Amino acid sequence: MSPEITTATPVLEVTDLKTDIVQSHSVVQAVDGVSFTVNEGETLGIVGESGCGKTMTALSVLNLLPQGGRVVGGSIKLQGRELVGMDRDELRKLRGSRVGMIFQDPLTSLNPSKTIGWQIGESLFIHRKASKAEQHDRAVELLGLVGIPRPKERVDDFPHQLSGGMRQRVMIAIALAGDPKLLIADEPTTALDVTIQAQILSLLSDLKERFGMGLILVTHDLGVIAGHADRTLVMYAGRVVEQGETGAIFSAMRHPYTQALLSSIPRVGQDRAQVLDTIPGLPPDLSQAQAGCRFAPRCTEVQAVCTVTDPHLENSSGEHQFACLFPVSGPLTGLETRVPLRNRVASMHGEDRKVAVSIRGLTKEFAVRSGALQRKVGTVHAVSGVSFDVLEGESFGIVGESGCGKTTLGRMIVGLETPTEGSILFDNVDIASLKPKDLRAHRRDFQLMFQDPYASLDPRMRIGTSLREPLAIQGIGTYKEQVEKIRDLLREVGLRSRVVERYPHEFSGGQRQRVGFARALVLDPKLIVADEPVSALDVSIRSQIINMMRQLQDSHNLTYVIISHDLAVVSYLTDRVGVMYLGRMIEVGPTQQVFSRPAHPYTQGLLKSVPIPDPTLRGLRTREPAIVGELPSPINPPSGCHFRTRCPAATEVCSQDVPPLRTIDSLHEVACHHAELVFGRVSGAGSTPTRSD
Amino acid sequence: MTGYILRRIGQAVVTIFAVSLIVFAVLHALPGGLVRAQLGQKATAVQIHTLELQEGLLKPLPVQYLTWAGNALRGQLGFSFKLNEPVSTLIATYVPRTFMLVLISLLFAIAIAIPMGLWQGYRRNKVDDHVLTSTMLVMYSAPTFLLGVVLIFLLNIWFPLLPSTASDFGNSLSVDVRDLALPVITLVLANVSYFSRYMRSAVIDNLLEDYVRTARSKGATNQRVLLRHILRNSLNSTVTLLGLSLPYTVSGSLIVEALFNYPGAGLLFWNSAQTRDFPVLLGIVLVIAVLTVVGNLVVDVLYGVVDPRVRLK
Repeated sequence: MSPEITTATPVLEVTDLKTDIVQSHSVVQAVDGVSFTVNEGETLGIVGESGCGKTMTALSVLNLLPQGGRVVGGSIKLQGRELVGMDRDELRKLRGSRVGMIFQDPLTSLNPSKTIGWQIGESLFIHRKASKAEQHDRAVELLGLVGIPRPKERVDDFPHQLSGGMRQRVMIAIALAGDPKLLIADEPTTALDVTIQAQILSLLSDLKERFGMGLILVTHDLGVIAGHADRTLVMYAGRVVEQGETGAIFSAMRHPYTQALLSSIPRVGQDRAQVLDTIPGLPPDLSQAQAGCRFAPRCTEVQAVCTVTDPHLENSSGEHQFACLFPVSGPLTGLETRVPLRNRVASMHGEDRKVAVSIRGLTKEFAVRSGALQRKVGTVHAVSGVSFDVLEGESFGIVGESGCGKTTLGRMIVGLETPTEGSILFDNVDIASLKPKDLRAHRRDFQLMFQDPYASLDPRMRIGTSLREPLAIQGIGTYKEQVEKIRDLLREVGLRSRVVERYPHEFSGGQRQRVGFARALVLDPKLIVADEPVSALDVSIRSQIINMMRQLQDSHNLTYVIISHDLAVVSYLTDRVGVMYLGRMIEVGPTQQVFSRPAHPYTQGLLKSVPIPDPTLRGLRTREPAIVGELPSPINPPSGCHFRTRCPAATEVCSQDVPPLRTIDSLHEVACHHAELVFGRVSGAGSTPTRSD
Repeated sequence: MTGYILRRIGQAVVTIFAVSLIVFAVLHALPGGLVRAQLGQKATAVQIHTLELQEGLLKPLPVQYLTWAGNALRGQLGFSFKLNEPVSTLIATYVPRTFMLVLISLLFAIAIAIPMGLWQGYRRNKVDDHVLTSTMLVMYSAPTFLLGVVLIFLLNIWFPLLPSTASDFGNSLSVDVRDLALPVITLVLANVSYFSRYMRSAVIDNLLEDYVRTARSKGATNQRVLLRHILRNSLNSTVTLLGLSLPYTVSGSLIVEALFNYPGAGLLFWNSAQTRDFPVLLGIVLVIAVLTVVGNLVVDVLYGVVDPRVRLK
């Protein structure tokens, strides 16, 4: 797959790179003997979980390491020139001219008080002493190149005036300004929505080909790797555990870590009757020396020798290398380890199932105020006229991009936000119209599980106290009973009961999310609204939490509302799903059906944008992003159908009438004037590679 | 930007109105009333009534307020029987001197503190930073009068370079630079420590920002990173501090003026307080309040210049 480049000098050649980060009491060996090459026109993917050293590897190339970071060994050759030990000023001259960098968060990575034109032009000034006029012209040219509409008008904008996707395009323009031979992109799309992610990734690939650059794509997302990397480096605990052509990494991996990582990712259309594969335990602490293979404590193939002998990267077939003494052969087939999940959710159509929450015409508007007198100058339509039922014992998913109103909707359901209009019927009581005092008695029935449990737990309160607090407030049980209850709960979420003495910062991310889940369960709620429950977690931890959530749903008789931007997670966790766009519910139905046969062009585009960890689908999917353009402003949404400005099927009627939610197929409802067209097209051939099993 | 400035001016007008109401209320809440304060303890009821009638003090309060505010707008703030001069004349003589003292001190303080804080932040936890930081900590913790006394010892007694008390100015506005020197140095030292501390921590915070890494990835030199990227983004907090420190500096000048016998509003206030000369005291309060609000207005506008994000809010 990689082009015929072996004869030429690689753009970048890294050999046995070692990078340390000196902290106040320890030294972290963040990168430990990493080697790789990047050729012209080639994309090298570096994938791994947080703390595996992938970002430090990328930052080592130009020595842009954080404080305390230092390259302590190895060699980095850029077009044959050694960078390790190079004079600081010499190295500085290569930054931005030979090598361009793109960082994760386009908001914080741009200087807030300089115009984007200035920031693009700066590297031209640094390297070529370009004049103001030259800088300006080149900035406009580059902004056009990275797909910013009307670049002449935007060149004097400040970063805060642009959307996240536009800022990342600016970041790319900055990286391109010096005509680099190598682009290093560190998690370039992690902070972006999936439709924008697809746009940015295809832009990067296009530019790379057009200018014959080498591209290093650092990411935690195997889906992104599968779709865009020619060769892939899998990192674990500061080392490369496997590297090779991307196809081989996915279809014929030899390292147990690669195998486990891939199988623990939920996919759209995943079999819900099976427990999700997990990698037990946590990655090692890199400030402690460890003998043998670093993955050994979590490995299923581990043998006694693994804990003493350090495996080196071995050649198996040419390019493909792996560091394992007892290699596996290829991905899990799904038969070896799959454990069936007791499926209580018998039938979706069961008439015997009661409605847990009934939401009717729910609307939330926020006033936009301005001026000295804070006059109302506009309204943000966060949620407009949303209606749906959540059945008892089911999991209802709400998906959509950031700004679609899904979080506001979730907060209204648990009574944290008062609706402007509409009702939320819970046990025949409209909690939307309850007085705060009466609402408090009902609060125990519905709980919110937060995305970031670290931010939502009081940092100065012991876990035990935090967990006991709801019981104390609601006056449930004696002190002894309360303590007993939280000990039981902690055991259920997989934590030892003596952790009650600890503070939030003493837990890992996954453990904290378990605590967060225990907190939601303390009051024996009937309904849990989980807002992005696993988005902040690494892949291997994520699947542990997802499994736990499904098991406890069964044993505690819970109804879930799962809010997430991650379609794969929603696909695995939920029975039914609602898709939101700019405050409106545009499609509702059984998850399986909606995801395999989407009837709304937006849902369809969203599904196409999800990166799937399977490189064989690359040919099937067009490079063109499925949804073009950006989310319109919720202050001034388009007339008629909100999606029409980005919709390929839009016609005259779409700008005039708001499409109502209507039934298209038994329980499947959609709000689109042209749904029959879309629905029919999808049902034809398998044009969407969504793996409908 | 124009809209932003107009909004801030609107807010300033509201604040000044509130201050004037408070000053007016205090005038009328004086023990025994304004008239008794003027005529003294031995005044007879007839004398009091006559003066009250004469001064319009028997009219309804809103009418009195409007009359008083109207006069204040025209610069008439009453009459000081103790000093036998109109308050406005006194203020016109003394306040500009304080204004000059404060302005010169602040300008010097900022001109020193910004480069110093920038350097300290860049060299954080190195020897020179530690030396500067601890020196500044001493300045910061020392009360203004102690600083002044030390300076008098140093520059007047041991090395007789500067006069410790200002010569009599009379009514003139022109001030001998030598007379200004010690008060200004005292205020500058007190303020430099204050501003440079915040500038230093703002620089340290900004150095860790992602945009600094972006600038380095473009090949920017350390000097460029500091002057073209960090400086402006670190100024936000210093500019905010400038606004917050205005009342503090003005009241600090009161002590300094008393210490060096510098004939500014502070000294006038000090003397008037001892003689219970209320019209003068309240006149000064009103004028200083207005100046502080105007000063904050200037700072708000500066803030908008420094940070483009503020303009849109």
